[in-house]
Amino acid sequence: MPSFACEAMRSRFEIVLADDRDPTFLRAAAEQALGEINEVETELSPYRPGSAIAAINSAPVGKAVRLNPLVFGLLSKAAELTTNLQGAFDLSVGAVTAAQRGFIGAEAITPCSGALHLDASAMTATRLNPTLRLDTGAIGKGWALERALTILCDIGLTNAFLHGGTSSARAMGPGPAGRGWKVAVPDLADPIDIVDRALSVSSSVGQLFASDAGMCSHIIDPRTGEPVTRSLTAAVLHEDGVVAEALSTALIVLGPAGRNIVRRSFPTAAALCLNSR
Amino acid sequence: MSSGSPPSRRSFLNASGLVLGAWVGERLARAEELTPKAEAPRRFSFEPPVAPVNCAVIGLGEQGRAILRTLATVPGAGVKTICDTHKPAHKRALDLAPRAKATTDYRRILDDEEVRAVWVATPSHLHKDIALAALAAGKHVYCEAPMAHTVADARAIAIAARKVPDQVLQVGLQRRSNLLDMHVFTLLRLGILSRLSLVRAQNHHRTSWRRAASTRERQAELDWRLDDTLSPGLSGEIGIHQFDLASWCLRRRPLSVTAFGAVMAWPDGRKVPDLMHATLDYGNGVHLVYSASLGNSFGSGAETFLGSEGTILIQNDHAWLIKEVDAPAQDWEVYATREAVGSDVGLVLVANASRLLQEMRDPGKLRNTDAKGALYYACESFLQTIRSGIRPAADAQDGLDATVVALTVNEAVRTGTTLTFRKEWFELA
Repeated sequence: MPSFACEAMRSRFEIVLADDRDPTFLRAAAEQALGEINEVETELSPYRPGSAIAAINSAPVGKAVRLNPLVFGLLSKAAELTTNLQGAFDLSVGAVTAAQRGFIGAEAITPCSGALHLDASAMTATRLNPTLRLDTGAIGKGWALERALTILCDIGLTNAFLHGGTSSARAMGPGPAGRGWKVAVPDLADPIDIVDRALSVSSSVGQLFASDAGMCSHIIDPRTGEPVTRSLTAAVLHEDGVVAEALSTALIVLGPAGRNIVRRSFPTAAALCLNSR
Repeated sequence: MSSGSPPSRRSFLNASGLVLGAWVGERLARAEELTPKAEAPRRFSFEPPVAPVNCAVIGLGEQGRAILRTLATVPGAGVKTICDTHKPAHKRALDLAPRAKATTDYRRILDDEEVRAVWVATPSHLHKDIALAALAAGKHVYCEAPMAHTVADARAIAIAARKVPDQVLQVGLQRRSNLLDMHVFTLLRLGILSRLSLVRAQNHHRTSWRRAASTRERQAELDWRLDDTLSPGLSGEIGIHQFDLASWCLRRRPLSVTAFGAVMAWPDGRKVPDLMHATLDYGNGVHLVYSASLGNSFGSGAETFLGSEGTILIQNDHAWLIKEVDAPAQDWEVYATREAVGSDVGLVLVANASRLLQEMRDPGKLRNTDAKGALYYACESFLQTIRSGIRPAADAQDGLDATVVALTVNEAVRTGTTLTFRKEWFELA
């Protein structure tokens, strides 16, 4: 099966096409989809000039930042997810993640949940707290895969598998053998078959950063601003990659008890919590 | 900018402002002043009203959508209508401009008296008819670069624009509006490198340049860049912005070009080269050495200005000054952020550093991340030009100059020869 790749969001994104059409056509289609992934990175990277997130993070408090409708829609969806997940998922953890990577000083960190005002009529976002920094890393890959998938659909492709790094995947169609796209999940004994759904896998030990208290997780509890300390892997299947990513992140924060919240608020999601080795 | 023509008042004032305090990635002596103050949260801040301009975007491919994505964030840009002859293209465009009306006939836009400004973002061989009709209908026109796929078409647009001085024609040479490039332009103009001797530029990517569509007919339309009767080639599609940057910074036109090209990475029957190399002679020993590739992405896009006292490198929206060891010290150097650039050490160049300082923010930390991107500044400057009547960032002459250079380089690539630029090619007679 032909596969095509690009680098974005510090990950290798790959598109696999189960399609027997002309390879030149398939490459062109995949390049357009990969181009959309690069576009998402341009919109969301906190470190790139012209990015919406960089514009919000660097805007003075109280200054409304105009957003394009797609980014505004993503931030609105994220705000809704924050509410439904009782604050266990929140884009406002950006200050902590930026400090982990050494981009800002640790003294600038405070939890800032609710410090972003979104105005749907003006399509703007306004920081209400000077220490607020957004980080869309938890859902950016899922959004990129959804947008890439839309491109492939518009071109007329119906059987494809897309993934970003090892944490996010999106399947469309019945897979190469007609039984779904087979994916191995860490700590899960057997591979799973995915059809027309997104898979997000989060792990508290997926990336570790050094801190005064020793090595700590890259996943932050937005309610405290502290890295998660439990060793856990969460895998979530959902028809929307953004939701799947938010849920898998929130499950790491909430622990196994979070499955009740997911079950109640997201009935179409399938969630697994697994103790990491 | 053409040889001998003065910079626009706007670009000069902007550039001068950028250099005041000239500073570039400085680290503050009193860094504590930059720590965010615990100010009381305010919900809204006053923003001076900007007179709205009703806009339309014609051509909803990649560039048209990039324009719509940008206009959504530019104050006072009201996108009233979008247009593409391919109706299915409307959906993705409307996602970016949900309040706009969609049409397949650009003449409906020209008949709409409320629309004042039109972006022409179709394939370049379709620019002429639309741009001429838009100018005739009294619209201000932003025409993407190259202006056209032939010099004759580009000249026709430029001449038509000259005949309607109350209307703006801005050509999409967006780097002339980009803050970081304007900053470098100003530093070069101040002689920071002393005698400039060589410019190197490249644009390397890995992409087939093909487009896929659900029907063969549509795919053929989308693959116009691979049609050697229509395509301006690598030099016209991507090189034009870098040739223009070099000509703008050197403040003169090239005298001749020697080039070659080949199909190396994608031997799929195409005739348009996917690899090109060109050397443009700017006189007095100064050359631009340029390469573009669709098969290898090493180094991506970059421009390097080499002078007798140092080098400026622009790459991926960042820029550095790498000084020769015996070059005189600049006043601002003691504050500058230094970092490795390959095996050298560079001073980080940050546009708008003086403003950032006034806002109590650290340019060295922000780098250029609060900048908006070249297309934003180009669109914003077009709208400001409409409101104020000042000279656009890239006018008809600039557009013709850049188009002549790019198309001539393409011809040199196609024929593998040396071509001499003639003065009359650039004349708007």
